[in-house]
Amino acid sequence: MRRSLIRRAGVAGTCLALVTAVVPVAFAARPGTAVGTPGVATIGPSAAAIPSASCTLVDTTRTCELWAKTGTIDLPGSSGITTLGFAPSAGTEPQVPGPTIKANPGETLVVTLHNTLAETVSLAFPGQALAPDTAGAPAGGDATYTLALDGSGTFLYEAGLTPNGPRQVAMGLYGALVVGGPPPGVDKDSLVVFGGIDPQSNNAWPAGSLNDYEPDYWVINGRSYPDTESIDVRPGDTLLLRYINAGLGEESMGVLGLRQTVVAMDGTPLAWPMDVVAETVPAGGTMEAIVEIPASAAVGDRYALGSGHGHIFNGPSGPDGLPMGGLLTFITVVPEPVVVSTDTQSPLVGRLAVGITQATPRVVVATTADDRGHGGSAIRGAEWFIGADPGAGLATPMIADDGSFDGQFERIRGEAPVSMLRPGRHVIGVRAVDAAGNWAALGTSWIAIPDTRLKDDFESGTLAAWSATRGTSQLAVRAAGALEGRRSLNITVRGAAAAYLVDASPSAWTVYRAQFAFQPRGTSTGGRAMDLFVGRAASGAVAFRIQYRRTSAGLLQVRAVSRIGAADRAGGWVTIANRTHQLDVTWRASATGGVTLLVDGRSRSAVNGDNRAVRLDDVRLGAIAGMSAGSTGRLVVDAFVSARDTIVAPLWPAPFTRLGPE
Amino acid sequence: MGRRFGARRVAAFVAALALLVPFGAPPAAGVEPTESGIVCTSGDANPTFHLVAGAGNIGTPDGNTIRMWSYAADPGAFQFPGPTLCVVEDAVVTVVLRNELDEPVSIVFPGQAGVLAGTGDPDVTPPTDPVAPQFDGGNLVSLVQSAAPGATVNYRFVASSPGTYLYESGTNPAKQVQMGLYGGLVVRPAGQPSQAYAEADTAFNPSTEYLLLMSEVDPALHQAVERGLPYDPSTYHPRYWMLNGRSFPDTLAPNGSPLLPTQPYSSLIHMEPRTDANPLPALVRYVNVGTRSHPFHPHGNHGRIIARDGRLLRGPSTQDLSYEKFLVNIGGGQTWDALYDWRDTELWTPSHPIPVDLPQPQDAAYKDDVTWYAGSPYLGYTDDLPVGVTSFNECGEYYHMWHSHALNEAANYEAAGGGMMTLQRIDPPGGCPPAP
Repeated sequence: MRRSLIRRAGVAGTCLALVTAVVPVAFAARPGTAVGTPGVATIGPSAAAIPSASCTLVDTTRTCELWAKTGTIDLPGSSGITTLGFAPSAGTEPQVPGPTIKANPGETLVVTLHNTLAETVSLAFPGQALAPDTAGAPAGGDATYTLALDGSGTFLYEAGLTPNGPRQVAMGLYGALVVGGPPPGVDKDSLVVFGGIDPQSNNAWPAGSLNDYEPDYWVINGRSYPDTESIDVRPGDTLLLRYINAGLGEESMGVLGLRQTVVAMDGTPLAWPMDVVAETVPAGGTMEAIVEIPASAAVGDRYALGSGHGHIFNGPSGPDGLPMGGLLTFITVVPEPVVVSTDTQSPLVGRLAVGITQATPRVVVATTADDRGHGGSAIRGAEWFIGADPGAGLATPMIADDGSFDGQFERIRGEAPVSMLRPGRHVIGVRAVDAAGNWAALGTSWIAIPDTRLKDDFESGTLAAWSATRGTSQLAVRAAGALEGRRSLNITVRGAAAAYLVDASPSAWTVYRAQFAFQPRGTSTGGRAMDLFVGRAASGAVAFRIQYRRTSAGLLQVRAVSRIGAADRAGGWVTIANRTHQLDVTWRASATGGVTLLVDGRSRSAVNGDNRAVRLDDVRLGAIAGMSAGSTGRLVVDAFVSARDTIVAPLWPAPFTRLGPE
Repeated sequence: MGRRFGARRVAAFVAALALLVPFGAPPAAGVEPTESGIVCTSGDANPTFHLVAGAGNIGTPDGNTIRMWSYAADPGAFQFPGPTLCVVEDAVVTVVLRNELDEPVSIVFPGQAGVLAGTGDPDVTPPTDPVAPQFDGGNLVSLVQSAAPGATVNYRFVASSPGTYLYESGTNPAKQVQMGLYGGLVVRPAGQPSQAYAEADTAFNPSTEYLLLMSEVDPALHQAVERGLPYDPSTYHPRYWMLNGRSFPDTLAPNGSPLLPTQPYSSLIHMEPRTDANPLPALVRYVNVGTRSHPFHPHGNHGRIIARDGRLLRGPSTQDLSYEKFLVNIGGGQTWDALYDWRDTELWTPSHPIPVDLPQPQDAAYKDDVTWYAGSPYLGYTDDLPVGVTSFNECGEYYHMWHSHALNEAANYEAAGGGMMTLQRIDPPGGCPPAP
């Protein structure tokens, strides 16, 4: 079901998008949200709002990342309380509750937990079919969970079945998992994630235990009243409350002046909804309840929502008495939004820059959204998708480079881990929406994900990535003069003695591409062509060679040679300078196959022809053949990457290579 | 063997008289309480209830005296809990609250919509302002309009739906509700005083209608209030667990017992077997104003849960969604209505004996040498008990324990055998014959 975003001012801009939120300012406050005292430093400002989408969806697989971290939380009368929380990215603060994961039935949810704590953390997904994880992510490590989501509902995720898991839940390692949208007719969909906090127990962490746990505070979405968020409704609205008890004790959740109809418990719809004032939500349980706001409600009316178990106070009271607080918020009747904009024009999405970052490879899409001259509203949000278009308002939220969507022109950006994409070509779409609710036309591009195989930047200091070596005394990984990173491979050329690396992982491949950095260092070849990089069939037949020579005139040259039919044919020599170059080799077996060598992305040495009979079964790199007694010197190689593909994600030199059309 | 009661009068119930003296001080004017069962404070068709919030003392079975705050009829003596207000569907209900405490106090009516508040004489200036949270210097001080010390506040609402409800303080509830400011509210279906709801299958025997109001008391907090010390609910540790403001065995004392002058409401469940001559079940209205769920367990039979928070359990096409349950886990702020009966299915008598070897009475243990056991297992029969054992049994009636199955709550200050517990008494058909 497609849901309209348009009535929800600001939703797109405030989604707790997991992977797109790469900078802390991504969690800018929603305009008009009453945040109360800004005493809660590490909590997302709109935890009650359910994002239209989260994480990154490719076809039907949604990939999320959670970072378990330590942080602090401020509660009324008690600040700097040690807490644990999940953050949506490596660079953001942890949140209590963690980022809301919004997904849809039928999707496969892949959650990668990055544990930055000094103790094991695991995840549990109560209500989902998933084998319990009793191993977890070790300190500093990762764990990945794959769930088949088969039904709509309100669920939670929390620290799981590893030692200290219960304590970690009590300290904040929990969050909401919302599968599917609300039932038809719901105007407002709000999360009420609640639990208790014992500051003494938290501050003692990692010492102490749950034996000493006695909460003094109760929180809704990580906050105690008066810092809790109001749930804003309009007269006549149908409100869906998604209660999640992430605490360690049961709670009776009630409303005053209204009634609520319980429609689901623990993610399962009730055959017979039940009309109550208050209903018990056990620890770890969830409840969905519908509240009808009277059409006669007046703007400013407030209905209390909170604990039926008296948890409406904040911690130990002082001698001055006891302010009301705790597990309490209000459903507040607010005016219908005043439509001041006559803007009916859509903003424009600029051309998409799409690429892959280097470090932990991530797909990045960057573009602009511009409403200048198109109605002049502010850009309210933007979203992107990879693969199938989930529809406006349901794709993955993007972030504004300047931290908030507030201008008529915004530079926007989205990121996702490459690891979630299969090799091949993927459509990428971007759309933006202005404050008047006009959606931009879809901007599209594509990303090609290489079928990356062997890659080695030699930073390990060893040659263990390779299947075999020959002439190891002439092969050395050295730091001195490294081309990329801190180490490079040095190949000593000493007469006719062969010295090379072997990658035997190809097996009857018909396509292959490799890139590496190469520095000839003036190495002499006695005037002969020396095989530097060779692809061979299992029979020993050569598929391609990349050759290097130093001419008698002192020129340094490289060329490509390919087996075409029954003979080797050579491309022209490319003269290179005596410095570092990128060599880029593409080989393909087909009726119009052959090999292409690109030097620094420009100069070309190529051979084409019918080489359908040839297969690739191993690859060699180094001083392979063709040397002579006069060969002497040292070759330096680095940043080797190869693919069973015609594309590669280069390790060097560009950290951000644009592969898609601009 | 056993004696049919009446064949030989047994007058050994002197000890029980303390619990059975009827008709102490009536809790509110115009109310004639029965020995047990709900005690309604009612008014005219559109009643005005005058209540006063004040302080007083209650007693506990272990001899403690606890300072409480409560609502009471105004004018009237302090009582705990507040009067059970009974009104009829669609009545315009007005509550005038006068505050004798030294801090502001209010009343909220969970489950009622469109509650209005006002001040002054409600007959002259009817309440017109919707109830709304009250702030002082930005701090929330009350969920609804309150009465300052010495002042009054009025509330008015239309009791639009039959059922069981509660009322309680909306001002600093973490303190004032714990201190005792709460009571029950019953809305009867229009024209059907012997039905819980408008539907005919909710008919009950009007002589067996019960309200069981569950609450907890941490005496340390009450002592802090009494002594003017800081009130810290984060230290909350209840020691007394109550039904209708009493702990077992005081729960058995009759309504208005002079031994419990400020705790007028009995919780004794007293019925006869369901027969053709006694075709209607009892109605038990459970209300929890406490801070945790109370898993309440009636021995003897299941209850049939027919309603929650004043709404009959019915499907959209009037499907009967009631269900039987032997333990009702009632959360804070919730009300559950149960129809309850007890049937003598086997009809054992001495001439139609229970086909097992029965233990001899002298082989049984009698705590403190007292018992409710008749000496005979047959309904309506008594028999000898060991010398020195005192029976509270009157005519061979049965007693079943009803109690919170959080068994720490079946205790008075950690001493087992008290707390949130009462007894169900089942008389022989036709009831016990009158004492000679």
